[in-house]
Amino acid sequence: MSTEMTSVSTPATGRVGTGPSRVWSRLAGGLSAWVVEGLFLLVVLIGFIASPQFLTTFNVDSLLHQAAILGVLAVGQYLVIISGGFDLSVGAVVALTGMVSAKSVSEMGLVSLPLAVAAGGMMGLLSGLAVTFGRIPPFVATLGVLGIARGLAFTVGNQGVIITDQTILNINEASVGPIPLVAIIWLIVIALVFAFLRLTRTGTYFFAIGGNADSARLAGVPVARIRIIAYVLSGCLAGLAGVLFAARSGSGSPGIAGGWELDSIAAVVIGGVSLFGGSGSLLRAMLGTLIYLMLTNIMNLANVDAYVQNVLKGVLILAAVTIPALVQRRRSIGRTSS
Amino acid sequence: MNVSDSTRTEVKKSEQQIAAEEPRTGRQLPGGTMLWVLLALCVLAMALTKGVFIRPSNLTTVLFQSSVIGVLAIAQAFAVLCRGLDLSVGATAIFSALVVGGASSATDSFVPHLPLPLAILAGLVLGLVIGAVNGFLTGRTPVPAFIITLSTYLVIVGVTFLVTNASPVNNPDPLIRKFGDARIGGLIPAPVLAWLVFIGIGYLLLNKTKYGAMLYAVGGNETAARLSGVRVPRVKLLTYGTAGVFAAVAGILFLARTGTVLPSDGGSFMLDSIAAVAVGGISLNGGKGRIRDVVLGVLILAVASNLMNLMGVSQYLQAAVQGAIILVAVGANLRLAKGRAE
Repeated sequence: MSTEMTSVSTPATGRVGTGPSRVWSRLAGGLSAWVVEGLFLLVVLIGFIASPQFLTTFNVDSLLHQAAILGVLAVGQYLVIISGGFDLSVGAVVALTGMVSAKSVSEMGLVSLPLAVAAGGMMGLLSGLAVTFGRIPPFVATLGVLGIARGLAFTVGNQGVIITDQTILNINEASVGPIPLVAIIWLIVIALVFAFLRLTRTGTYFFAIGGNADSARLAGVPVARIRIIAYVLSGCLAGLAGVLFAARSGSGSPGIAGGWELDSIAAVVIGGVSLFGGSGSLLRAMLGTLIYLMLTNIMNLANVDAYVQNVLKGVLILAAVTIPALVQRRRSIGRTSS
Repeated sequence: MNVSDSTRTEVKKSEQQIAAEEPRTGRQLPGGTMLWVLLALCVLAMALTKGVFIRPSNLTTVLFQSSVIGVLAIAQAFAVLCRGLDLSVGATAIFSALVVGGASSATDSFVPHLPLPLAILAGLVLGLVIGAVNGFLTGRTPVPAFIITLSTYLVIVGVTFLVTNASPVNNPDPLIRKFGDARIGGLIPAPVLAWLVFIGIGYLLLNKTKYGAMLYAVGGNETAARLSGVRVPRVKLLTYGTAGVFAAVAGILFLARTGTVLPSDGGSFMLDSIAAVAVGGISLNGGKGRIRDVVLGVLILAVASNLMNLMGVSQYLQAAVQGAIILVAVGANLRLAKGRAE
């Protein structure tokens, strides 16, 4: 077979960068250090120009509410992605835990919050076990868990549940000064995860196994355990996001949050986090979340058709992933293969 | 001492390698494990439903309902064998179905009226173009296929709703409906026959062409394939192009079966096609698996779903069971493959 194939074409081991592309890649290399921050400011500027409503207190407040929910979800997704996986189950887990909290809050009060977080954690544990001990690729494992979580959400109740209990609703309505409580919860989550990644040994392992799981294993990193922790944390955070969303919508509903896994991945990717794992900044990922939501918000304010928004989102994700990947490939030609 | 130790381990290693390469017929069941899983499932279904399952009318229903996913799963299998994934197959199928239905419709629709053969051709070309975009981007950028096809999926869904204004296509050419309802020999539905034809086409492409060999080579080890002279980007272009055409065919079969297509239809197509491929035992790491496995995967999921329907299991619980089947089947397949290799 191989003799046949050598005649097909000359082996192309990699093209040598030509003059202009090298200049471009050096330029992009310098830019990429602050490209996310630049994009953030650019989007704020576009919003400011495109709509007088963009920077009103009302709009910023509602943006922060949305950002808190997607942001908490994106923190979990970030943890899984830097450790070399994906979590496609987060949207379904939001629906499941929203249902759990909505159903249990009238009897249990605030206990329903840890209950929902624990339910999310269980789903994460399932993903983690499937990926590590089942050796199933993350994509398919979390797809299976997506099906399970969605099915369980409908089993908890196949109709939406209206929340009348004020304890949960207060989470959404309360604010500290001008800042809504949910945004503060989001900031606390960011601070805790940031400290965890920077200050603990387990935290550094996340990057190690995402960068190269084999070397990490040989260096004595408990790869399976770290992977499971990543998925459990992602599940717990999806559980928290589920409660926040139930508080915001005043109800739990089993069919909601379809496609949120894609939103959370998009947010993290726009924030410059490598989809191959091992690198990316948490704070930039959070900026990515804000950029993603602001773009949607601006399109809404500018009355862009919802279908066109879908198209633009797809193009945006593609551009956000393809362009840095191409630049990186140009820069690393000769250093790596495949 | 050191030297002899290292040579000994080398000899051992090569013995192991030889053992791994030899087929261990004793440990494998004839026809593969999944065939026996399917048969066991059928026996279970027969017992649990007291024979209702085995009635010809029920069996043809199972096959009839599998035909669309059956063709879609072949599209997915091409991408998976090439160590990729195609998340856009479901959206492509529905878009093509809408175009074919709209163009062949006697009433006004979002596309100009075309005679039926041209309408079908338009649907297939649409699938090919979408697949080519996926293939081009997958071949030319190092971005994972699932992110690329995820983006094209979002774009296709957006464009579909945009051009159709979210309204359904109701009146395709009567011939299409006639095809969907036709029973060959009074028993076998025509869409099932179409499924068989495309199983055959998929088999020929994968096993009897140079392209098929290259596809397996790229899926198995892309670097090795490139170094031995395979034009990897072109193979990927062909692979996703084929997947796009097969997806369009699945869409046309869906149109023939239902007669009405909504832009919001086919929401479960993407996951169902991946589930079928995974359950059938095609390696999600690429390069390993046969068309036969895809068919078995589709049938196993269809029989399980039919059994749950007959037993009155709620639709919602079925989603959870399907998720569990995926996990168990993929985990078991990987274990078996590993056991065989060792």
